[in-house]
Amino acid sequence: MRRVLFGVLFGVLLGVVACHESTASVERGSAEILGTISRDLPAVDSDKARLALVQDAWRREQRFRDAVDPGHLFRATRVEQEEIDHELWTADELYQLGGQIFTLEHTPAHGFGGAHGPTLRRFHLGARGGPDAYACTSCHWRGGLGGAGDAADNAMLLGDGLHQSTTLARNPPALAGIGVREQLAVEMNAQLAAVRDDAITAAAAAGHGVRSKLESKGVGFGYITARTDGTIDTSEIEGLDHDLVIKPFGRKGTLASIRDAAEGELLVHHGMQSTHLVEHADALRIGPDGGADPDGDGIANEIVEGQVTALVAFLALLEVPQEEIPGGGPYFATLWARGRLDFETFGCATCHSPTLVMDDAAYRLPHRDGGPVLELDLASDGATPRIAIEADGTAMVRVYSDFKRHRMGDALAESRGHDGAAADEYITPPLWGVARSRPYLHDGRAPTLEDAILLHGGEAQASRDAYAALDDAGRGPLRVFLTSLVRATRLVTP
Amino acid sequence: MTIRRLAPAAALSLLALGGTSVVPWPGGTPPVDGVVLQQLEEAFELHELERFEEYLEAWERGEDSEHIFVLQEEIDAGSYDLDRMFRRGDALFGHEFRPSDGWGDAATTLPLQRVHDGRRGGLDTFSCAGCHSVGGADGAGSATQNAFFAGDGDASDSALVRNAPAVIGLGFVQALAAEMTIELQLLRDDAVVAAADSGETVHVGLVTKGVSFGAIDVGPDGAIDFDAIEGIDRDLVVKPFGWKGTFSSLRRVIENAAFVHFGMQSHVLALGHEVTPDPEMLGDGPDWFDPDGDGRARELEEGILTAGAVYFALLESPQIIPPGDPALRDRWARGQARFEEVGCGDCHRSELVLVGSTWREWSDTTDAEPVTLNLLSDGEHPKAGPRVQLFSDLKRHDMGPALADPHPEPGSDIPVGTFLTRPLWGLAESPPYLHDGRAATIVDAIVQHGGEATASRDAFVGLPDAAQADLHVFLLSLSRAPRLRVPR
Repeated sequence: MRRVLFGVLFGVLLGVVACHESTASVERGSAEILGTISRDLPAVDSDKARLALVQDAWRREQRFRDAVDPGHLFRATRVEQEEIDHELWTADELYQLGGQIFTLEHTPAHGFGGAHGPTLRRFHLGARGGPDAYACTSCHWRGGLGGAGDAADNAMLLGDGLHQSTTLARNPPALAGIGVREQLAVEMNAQLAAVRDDAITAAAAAGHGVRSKLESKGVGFGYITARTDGTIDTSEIEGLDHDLVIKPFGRKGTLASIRDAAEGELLVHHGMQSTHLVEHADALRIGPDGGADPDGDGIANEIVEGQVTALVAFLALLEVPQEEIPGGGPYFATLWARGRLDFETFGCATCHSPTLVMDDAAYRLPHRDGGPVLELDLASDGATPRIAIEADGTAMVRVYSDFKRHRMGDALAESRGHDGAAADEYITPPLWGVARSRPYLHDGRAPTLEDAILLHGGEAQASRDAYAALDDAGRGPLRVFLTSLVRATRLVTP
Repeated sequence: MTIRRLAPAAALSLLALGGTSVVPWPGGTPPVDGVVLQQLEEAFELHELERFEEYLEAWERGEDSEHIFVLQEEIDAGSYDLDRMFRRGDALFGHEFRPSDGWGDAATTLPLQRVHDGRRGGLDTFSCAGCHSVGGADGAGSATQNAFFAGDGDASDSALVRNAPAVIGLGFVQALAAEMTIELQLLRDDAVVAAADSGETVHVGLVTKGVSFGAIDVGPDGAIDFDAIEGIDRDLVVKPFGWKGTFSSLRRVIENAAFVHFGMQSHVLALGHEVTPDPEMLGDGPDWFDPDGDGRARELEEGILTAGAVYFALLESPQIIPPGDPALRDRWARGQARFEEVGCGDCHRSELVLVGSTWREWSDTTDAEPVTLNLLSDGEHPKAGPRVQLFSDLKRHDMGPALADPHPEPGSDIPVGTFLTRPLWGLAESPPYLHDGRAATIVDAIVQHGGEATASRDAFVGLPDAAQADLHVFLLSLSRAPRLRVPR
């Protein structure tokens, strides 16, 4: 008894010491680089080949290790936020850990699914979701790592759990370049907030309402009128929520950050519940059982904060799509150049704004528990090929989106709105890499670019009609141009 | 279009990756440079070709559709060699079907219909490749790609949920099944003769390639008592395709898949419809040649069914690839022994011997000579050998109520809990597992076996952890050869 008590006391003492010297005592835990993911794309083809083969060899070998040491693959992704806070992992290593999470097959042993539903639920049950997939790669495969999903992979969101007709179909978008997209949105949001603050200040000073144009990076979002009492008339805002926050993710522009999106996807598609959501989300999202295991599957801490951070780092640092002028002689190159002009002439570029300027390449992931911000340099930490920085520190981002919601017409309208966006309202999808992300439109109804263009309506009706009025030879150049929007050529196996 | 060639400098740099650091190869010997270079060249050659065709289609719409237009008469006339048929089959597998091809029918509504409507099918995607993305080209389907067959068009629980299997090695599967069918039917026919000659009922065991399909009793009058057959239909045709074993030829699998997933009606189906109308399945269009009434006749020519079947017959076969680490390799060897001890191998037969390697692809509607190829030597490599390590007996078994479907397949009397022994070759590259993808891991799949497999399952569960792990290591070696490709 005395020994036990002594042991407890000793432990408490040790704990106190550990608290005081936490800086020194934090060490890497079970997370481990498996050799299956690489941030760099070798310049030489044979090195690309060798890299793909060695990664495949490690993929197989690590899988065997997982068989003799069950949970090995999962534990290798289990990085604690404290380790990241103490900079025990480089950006490159975080990328690899996040990539391991992205390619991991989740299993019930580590929290996949919940106790109150079937093993798989293809049509989501409200905000609880599925689960409908074992891995991110189930739906993000086309065109390479972090790619798009087929029509068959469509997520069927927010339904009754049983009937397709109750769901909202969402074709999985390609993820390459989303760090840059979030960064652009963050910068635009700061500018929009400044417009609002200036208007409020001006209205107070002037003693009458002040109407200001909401514009950022050349994109107009209508007008706000600040009243003298500091409130805002939002009735003239266009394509943006009244909080003036652009949410670049989700087909309807409803998710502000990669972290919000990724954490939500882990929850609804895999039933993998992050510790953060378990602490903060309501029972409709995470399940009725409460406590540390609201989905009742007997597993707590299914996804720890460090894993969320690593996954976000991977996604934010994913390669940036490329424009590849067609080879094979001058013929296609000429068509391509013509199509590039047509993209402007037809009016596509009005919404699919070809270039937005990013002012600052520092992607900042705020800490959710008072710790340090994780800062990633998109220009140097990103996977190859990265965003190119000009001499003045800005970057011309060929993203082909205005980050704004538009009405797309009755034919593309759904049965209901979603998170504040109207039934026919969608955020302009970026077209970079578009040739590697078929099928198209929010529910993947368009198998080819031609179909996608012709299905545009609403605000895009005039542009669509300009294209449709041409014969096939007249339409060809635009399609050739769009076909040049791809991702860097890489080798993979499988 | 130019095929990229390797500069000599590139070959030298193979020795080191990223300058000075040599990447360690897990446990074994890295592939020799010549192999890497050849794979690289093949991958880029294919990529350049596909890229060129992509631009061609962008410039002149309809190019892709021409690639899948193949007349059987031209095949019969010898206009297509195996390479050309392979490319056409490959084009078919990757083709994004559009309404102008005949995708959908007159009543097609969007969005895509994930749950099929009875035998009419649904419209769940645009291409074969859309649901075979796991484990490489011509791979398996992920959980999200599950098909929902024969449902009410809306409710997931009204459908037969099917996870897409990988489509490599299928030529061997069809050929093995065809040999088994011939042998079983010979046994039956010999028994009919013997019974007639002897004037007495003849009891004959139906055993082929070491697999027993029960027995039949043949009366002197030729009447056959099928009560004792096991795991096969009364026609004694081994049908190795479909989770329940309902198709005997790749030709019909292609035709059916194109119909139920894309609404693409083959001309062969339409010709059958002319003779025996089947409006419930094909539609009630006014003209027999356009049953779905979408204004497109001959949506799939018979020749593309032939080219598609030839393509599948020419694809690589799954391979057994043991671990590199010597200790893991020991466990792999022990696991292989466990596989038989536990009884997995009773149904998942580790090997079926293929007697003839000649493949003949017969036309449905013409009386020309078949397309002939050699399964062992023609087409992609690596290939299975004559001892095909399939890990299946190609027989149906009862798997217990927990795995049973909600209802029988349309027009089928196969019990809801009965499935064909799933070939395990390529297993590691085809998660998730079981017919509806309900098992995330191989161990989950084993544990969920029931019915006839209950004893083996119990034996596995009763093994010490280490022995279970050995078996798991062995099963993870059932894989595919690494093949470089440019993702598209």
